[in-house]
Amino acid sequence: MNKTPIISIVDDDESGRIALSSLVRSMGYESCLFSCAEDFLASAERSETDCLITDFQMPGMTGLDLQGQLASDGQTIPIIFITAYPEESVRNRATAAGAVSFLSKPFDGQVIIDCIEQIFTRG
Amino acid sequence: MKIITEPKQITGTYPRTLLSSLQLQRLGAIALSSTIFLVDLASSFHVAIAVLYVAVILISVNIFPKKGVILVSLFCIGLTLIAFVSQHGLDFYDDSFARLLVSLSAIGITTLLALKNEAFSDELQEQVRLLAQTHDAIIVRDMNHIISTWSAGAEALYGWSREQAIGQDFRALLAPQITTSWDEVMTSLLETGHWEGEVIEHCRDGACVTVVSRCSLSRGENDEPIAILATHNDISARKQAIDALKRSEAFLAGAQWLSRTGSIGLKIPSGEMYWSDEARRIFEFDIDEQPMLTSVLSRTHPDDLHLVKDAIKHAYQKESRINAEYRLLMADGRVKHLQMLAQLMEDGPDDFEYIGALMDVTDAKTSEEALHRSQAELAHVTRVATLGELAASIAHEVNQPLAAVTTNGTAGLRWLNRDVPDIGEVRGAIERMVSETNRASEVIRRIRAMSRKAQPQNVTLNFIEIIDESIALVERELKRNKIVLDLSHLNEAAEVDGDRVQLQQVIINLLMNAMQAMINAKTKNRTLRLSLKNSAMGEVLVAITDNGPGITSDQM
Repeated sequence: MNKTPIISIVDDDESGRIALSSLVRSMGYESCLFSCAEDFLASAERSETDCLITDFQMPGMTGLDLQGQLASDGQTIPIIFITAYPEESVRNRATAAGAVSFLSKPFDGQVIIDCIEQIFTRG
Repeated sequence: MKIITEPKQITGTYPRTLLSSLQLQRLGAIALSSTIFLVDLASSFHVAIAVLYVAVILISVNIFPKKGVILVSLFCIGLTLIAFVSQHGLDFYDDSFARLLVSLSAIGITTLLALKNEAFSDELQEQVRLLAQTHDAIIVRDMNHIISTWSAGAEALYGWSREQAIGQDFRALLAPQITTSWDEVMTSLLETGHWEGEVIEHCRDGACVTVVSRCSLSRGENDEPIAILATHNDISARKQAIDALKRSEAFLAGAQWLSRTGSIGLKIPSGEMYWSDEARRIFEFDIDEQPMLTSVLSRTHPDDLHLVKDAIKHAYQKESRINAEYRLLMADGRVKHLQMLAQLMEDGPDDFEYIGALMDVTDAKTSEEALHRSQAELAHVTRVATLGELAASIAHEVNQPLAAVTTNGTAGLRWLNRDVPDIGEVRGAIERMVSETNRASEVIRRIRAMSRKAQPQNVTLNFIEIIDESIALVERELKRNKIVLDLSHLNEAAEVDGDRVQLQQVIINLLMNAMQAMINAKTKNRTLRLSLKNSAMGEVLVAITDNGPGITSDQM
């Protein structure tokens, strides 16, 4: 695999987006940033995305909506959910729908690194 | 009841009769003196004819004033001397001279006695006239209490006429009640000749009168008691007034006790004071403590001493009304709150007095403070409850920057630990960590301000800041519920005086209520518009408008 894997980050919180971007880039991946799910779905990078890190609560489409939309469009991307509102019911639904991870903010940077590396090692 | 004390009108014919009687008496006196003179001159009886001049003097007493009587007397002496000289010459060694001396002595003594008697009867008449003019009832009764004299004053007072009263038993007629026994009254009268006391008597119409009865005993020629002379002075009105005054005083004392309001008086410039019983109770002064300004000052709370001294200064400057609210500090450390209001009363050009009311408002103050405390407590509880409602939002607000910090930290370390560290990326990560840490501490600061149990502080505030800070606390909640904030009308600067936290509380509550209303009504395109306007009256108008269903008039 010559191409650098692309990790798309969808978060309405800009600072959260930038921090994650820096982290994934430090791991050697390329990052694409979106402030909402709609932008991501409409983007050119959507089809090239190898891993999706998305916030759960966002104005407009939620992370769960995004997951549903991708599934219904037949696109399978490993998804890591992050949320500042850790709710058990939401976590269960996301995991049931195939989410790789469901992380509560603030999370340990190493945990997300492990998640990402797990995805790409498996892949 | 009007008592007629004027002498009866003299009838038209009466003066003329009086005048002719006077003339007749004068003529008689002249005729008599002439006859005596002629007989004295002509007779050769060895008797003192001139002694008969005493008859002339006695008549003249009735028809001449004092000076006239003296002149008549001198005239008679003159006639006697003329008769003597013309009959006996200047022979002083005769029997007739002795007779002359007897006659002159008789004339002189008669004149003196007549004048003295007249003076006495004048005095008596004056006394009678004065007595008749008083409103007092004058009653004379014998030793068996049978009434013999009943004055116009008595008629007026008791309603019984003279004819009805005279001959009646005094005790049967008026049913008098005294605090002592009648035996004691009689004993006092017989021993001292006087008795004085209050008597309640019954009038003809059944009404009761209270009189002061002054009795004196009249004795006969052989010193035997014959009658009781009494003046009765009606003091019912005075008595009623005194009773009413006593009642008022009792009412006032009761009212003062109930209302914890005392009266105080301050005379200026003497500084003399008056305290009512309740005022004493408020100050906790002993009943024998002399009312003085220094004692009032000694009870005053040291921190409020200047207030009392100012009030006293104003009093000496003769201000019409003085109002002071201050505290007392009791020996045992208790503090009392007083409210004092005093009014100027002019006594004279230099003397004046302040009459005032002093109210113990400690209870009111204490409850006011307690109310204030519980209001602050309630506000605090409400704020904490609001914080509880906002807990998820707040957690998000804090977790967001915290997540960014850890992520940036991890990333920064990774950039640093590369074979060739990327210093630019490290710097960026560290800078973001610093700014995110500040963001988190700002959220914490706001929450702490909301949850702090502090007394409200009134300061001048920028209202835009209040709104911004309030929005920051609920922003996440609004976003979560898909509410769009329209802040385009917040372009006016507005300064208000108030408590930052309380104002934030109001704004947050309004925002949350608007949000809840739109959620419950499942409103589409939820919008919250905030606007701020400075009115011409100098007021700041904040409007928070939602596009929910609104409030129907019956829900208002």
